[in-house]
Amino acid sequence: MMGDAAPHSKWVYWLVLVILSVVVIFFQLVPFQILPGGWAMPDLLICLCYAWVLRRSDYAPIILIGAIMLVADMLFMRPPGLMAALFVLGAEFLRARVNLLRELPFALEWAMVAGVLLAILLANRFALVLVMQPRPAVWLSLSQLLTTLAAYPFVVLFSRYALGIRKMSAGEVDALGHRL
Amino acid sequence: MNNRRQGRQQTDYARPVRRIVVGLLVFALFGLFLLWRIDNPRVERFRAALVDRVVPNFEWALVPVSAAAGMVGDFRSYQKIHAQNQELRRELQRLKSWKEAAVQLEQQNAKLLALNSVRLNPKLTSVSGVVMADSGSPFRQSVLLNVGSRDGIKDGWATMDGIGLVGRISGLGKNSARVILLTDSNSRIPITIQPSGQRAILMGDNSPRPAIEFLEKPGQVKPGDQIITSGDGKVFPAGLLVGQVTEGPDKRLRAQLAADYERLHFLRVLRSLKSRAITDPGALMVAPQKRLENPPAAKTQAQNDG
Repeated sequence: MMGDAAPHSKWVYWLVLVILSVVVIFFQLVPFQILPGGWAMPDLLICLCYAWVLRRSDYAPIILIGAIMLVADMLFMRPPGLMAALFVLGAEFLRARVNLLRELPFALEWAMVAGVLLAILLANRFALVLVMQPRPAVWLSLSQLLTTLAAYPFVVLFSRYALGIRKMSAGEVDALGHRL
Repeated sequence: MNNRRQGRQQTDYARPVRRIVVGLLVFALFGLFLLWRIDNPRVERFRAALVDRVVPNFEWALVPVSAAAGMVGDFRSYQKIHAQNQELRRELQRLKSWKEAAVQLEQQNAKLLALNSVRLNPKLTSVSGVVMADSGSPFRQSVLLNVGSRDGIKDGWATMDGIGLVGRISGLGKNSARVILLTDSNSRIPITIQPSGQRAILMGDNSPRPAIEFLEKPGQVKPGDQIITSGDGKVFPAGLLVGQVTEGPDKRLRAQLAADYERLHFLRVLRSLKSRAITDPGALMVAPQKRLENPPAAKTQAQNDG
């Protein structure tokens, strides 16, 4: 799997993203632990989407991210559409800063993802207050944020070494001459 | 060169188009969220239908994977057998009073009766189902059973394991039914605490032991008392074993659930004949009452006219 292969490889990566999402959703649905625990598991779906958006945003198109997150909203009993919309906005925010982050070290990328996820958490709570719906417990949301951020580097490493998704350097073009 | 120029022109068009697409996507998603808020039953029915289409397709994989995970868990518990042994000894010490023993025997009795499928109340027959999936989210406590409307399940029915109450059906597909567990933060069950007969509400709060709220005389209730469903409001069957009263670290009264939440595998859904469906948002679920001859609204209307 090379980054600069033929243009049809984009489709292959879209398919890979869908398959990985299905696998993650499947394992979240397996009833391993039914008693509520004190900690929340990381949200690997959003790690995967944001890691890909920051590396090869053409491999993680926004419609696909929106669709995956909407399905996750539906299956995981979240208010449908809310988290999906916020994740899409977060992905667009990060995508607009790909050029900025391209030359910066990983720690800054990590910090930016942390900022985006924290903003999404707050916006989610704010939206739920606005429509007078119960909010998830603060501690549980924060613990999920922490575990998600802890998992992010591993998802990046997995994408880099198992799938060959790396950051493009400035001025690199794809086979059709589009800037990346 | 020509190729590259074309590419640049494309990206010049692509940027505004992209903005419109993203805008429409976000608009549609927020719209769905608002629709869910306004017409909750309809969107939740859609969700149940979607879950019903998707999740049972994975049953062939979900059930073996969770069974394998259970085996790993069992193996780990064998490794901890000494610690467990000590713990059990301590527990045995605590269980030496007459009353505790009586509660234990009663639970055992309930389990044996269930195993013999003795019907305590002829109205309460049951359908058994296998747990396929859980909610997949740490914020919601529910499980998905592999029985659904095809098997005659209705929304609102009580669900038990061998011993105690587990939750109630909420969200029904053709081949699947979602059970909202007592630990879910949306779960509210009317209960009676024996022997004092105090009524209260069992409120799930995403912790392993749900809180007991709206107790009139907390002084009459002490840890170890038995909790059963009260059937208040006529939306939930009465007399089902829920668990025992315990005191949390914050001095709040909580319920130690009788059902074994560590090993929810087979569940029994109790048929209750008078369950009522939620059809529109904002309507109240009240106990069935005698219909008034003259509804009050019509009366005032008549007075105004006269």
